[in-house]
Amino acid sequence: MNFEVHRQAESNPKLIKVKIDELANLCTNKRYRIMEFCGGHTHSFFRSGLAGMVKPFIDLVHGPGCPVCVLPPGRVGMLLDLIENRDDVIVATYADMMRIQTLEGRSLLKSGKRAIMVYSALDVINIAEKNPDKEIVFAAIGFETTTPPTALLLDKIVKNKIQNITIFCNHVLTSPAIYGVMDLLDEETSPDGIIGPGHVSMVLGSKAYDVVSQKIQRPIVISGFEPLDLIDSLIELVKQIRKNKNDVSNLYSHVVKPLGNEKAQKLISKYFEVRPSFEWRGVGSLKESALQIKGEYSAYDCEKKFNLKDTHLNEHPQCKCPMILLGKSSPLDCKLFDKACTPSTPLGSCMVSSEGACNAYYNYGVEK
Amino acid sequence: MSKVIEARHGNGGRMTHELISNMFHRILPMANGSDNDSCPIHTSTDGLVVTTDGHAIDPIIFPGGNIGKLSVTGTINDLLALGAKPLGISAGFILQEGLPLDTLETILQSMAKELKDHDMNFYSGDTKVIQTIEEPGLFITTTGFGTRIGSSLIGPSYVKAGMDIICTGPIGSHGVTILGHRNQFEMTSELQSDVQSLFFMMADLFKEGDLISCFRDATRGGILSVMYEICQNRSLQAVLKETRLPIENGVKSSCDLLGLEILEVANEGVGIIFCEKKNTPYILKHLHNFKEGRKAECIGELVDGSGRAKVILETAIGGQRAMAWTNADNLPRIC
Repeated sequence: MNFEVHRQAESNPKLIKVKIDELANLCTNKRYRIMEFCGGHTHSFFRSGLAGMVKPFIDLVHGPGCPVCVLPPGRVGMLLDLIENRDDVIVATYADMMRIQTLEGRSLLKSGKRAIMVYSALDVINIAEKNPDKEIVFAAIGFETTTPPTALLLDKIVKNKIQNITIFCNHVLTSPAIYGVMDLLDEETSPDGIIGPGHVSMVLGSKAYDVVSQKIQRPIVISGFEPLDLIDSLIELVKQIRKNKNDVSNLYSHVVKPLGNEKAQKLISKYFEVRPSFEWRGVGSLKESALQIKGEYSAYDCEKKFNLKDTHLNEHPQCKCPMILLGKSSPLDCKLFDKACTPSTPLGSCMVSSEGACNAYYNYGVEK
Repeated sequence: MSKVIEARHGNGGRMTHELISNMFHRILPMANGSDNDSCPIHTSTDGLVVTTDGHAIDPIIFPGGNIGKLSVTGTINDLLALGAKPLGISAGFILQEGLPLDTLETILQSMAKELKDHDMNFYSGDTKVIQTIEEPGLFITTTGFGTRIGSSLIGPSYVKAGMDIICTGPIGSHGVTILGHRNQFEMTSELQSDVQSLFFMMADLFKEGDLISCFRDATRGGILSVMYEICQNRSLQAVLKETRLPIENGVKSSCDLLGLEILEVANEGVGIIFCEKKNTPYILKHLHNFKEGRKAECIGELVDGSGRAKVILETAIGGQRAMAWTNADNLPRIC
């Protein structure tokens, strides 16, 4: 289907109304708790107005699938210390990463020419060519969606023997995050079902979730990002929950294949290995939940080349991001929300990215 | 307010507005009670109108125009906020060491063309040269003079609940073009800035009595900033309909791809008209006769409302969302 035609069908208000009614009928006896794992879905729910439309019968729990939100401030602190100590280092990274602010107000965004925003990982090569006397650090961040571009960059660096690029790797893994969050939730706060990520699944494949759904005993529905995709996913989840089923359904099959993108997976496993453990903001340390550059490529690993030490930075004591990331609190429960903490002065990470729950609540004016 | 000037004080959003209200208007209040983009010199309705506009844009030459054209058309559009016909401008040029003279000539020629097209004079100019460690460019500050076209008063104080909101053309193309060009996002799209004067399209509408109650060009901060500036401190709320927003496909796709909020993206040739509902059909019919207004749409209305959120968007799927006036810069999302 032509892209524009497809989009128009996706936002057909009459069709949406029919689906909302169908969902409402399925929920006449019980409210259901559904976690959308991915920040992109959180954003779509609010942006399209769908969050408000399903509110009478569904409790949406906003999961930890926003890479910026789960990154501990210490990781940004490591980069900020590096550019403070080394005049020859330039950090290149995605925009959201630039906004993360430490408690004392430092951020890459405020580092002037020492931090450059890129939209594609491969842009880093141009920056390195233009600055042959500088060390370019690519601050890589994201779930499995953004890992392949970093692997591709690393592939080009290795093959072309580019000496002045290193990678500061913050790539994290979806399944350990789902386990980690589910472990921390009790019966009252635990979701009845999960909307599985779309773009991540494009890389991983839908089959990767079979073991996850069995382990957590919850249905998982892989969803696209248009309102119609999301409402279909909610309907499918509620149907499964009512039948006590814990299956994986792929409703984003025009993009997500059962085995995913095998070429990308190969490239990732060539250059990356699983870290023994990684700190997640709000969730704590999770075993085997992130990637690092393999030992044989350590010349391109920023942490090794510059001998960076893990840094811990304190959070604002009143910040509720940890509880929000677990779906235990709403942004509206936080005393800082819309007072000290706004998108222009983000104290907690959930306010930084448009995929963060606090940012979505603020921008889309969600009120009690 | 923070203690130093930040880049965000210049993005046309809430911090810009607060800086102007809390600092500039407090110390340097505008004459004759003006709260507009331009100000009448006399209190009588047929008097002179004056406006000042600073232009700093990177890159100085961009698809669809350059800083020279922008400096003249931006000034003309600000004069239109008081329903005035432009007479001429004076301009100050801050040139940076290293600026190629050919580039300067191109920019001045663009200014000359706009002035000629509008039958405007160039009254006076000044140049200064400063050093720079960055790519050399220039800044232009213009002061525009005009005379009111009609006899009726327009401005934010004349808007009220029940009025329609008309947008004169497709939104977002300037901001998306500049952002793409500045950050070298190599999008294979033929995006162009909409930088243009709205004078010829708007002039006749100001002649005819009380057709228009308030007019703004939606520059920095986009449509959202116009709505907040108009509704702030008044018990008004703007209800906009997503499906009625005129947006070119290329701009829409770019915004989706980059995660930008289209209503916050800058324009340089889009006007927002607030008018009584009965005048809407006539105004739209008139706008549609012009190239720059052929996509004009009534995008919503003003209603009574005292809540925190001053802008409500009725979404395409029939939902609603409030839109906060943020300070966030237009930075793309990760994925």
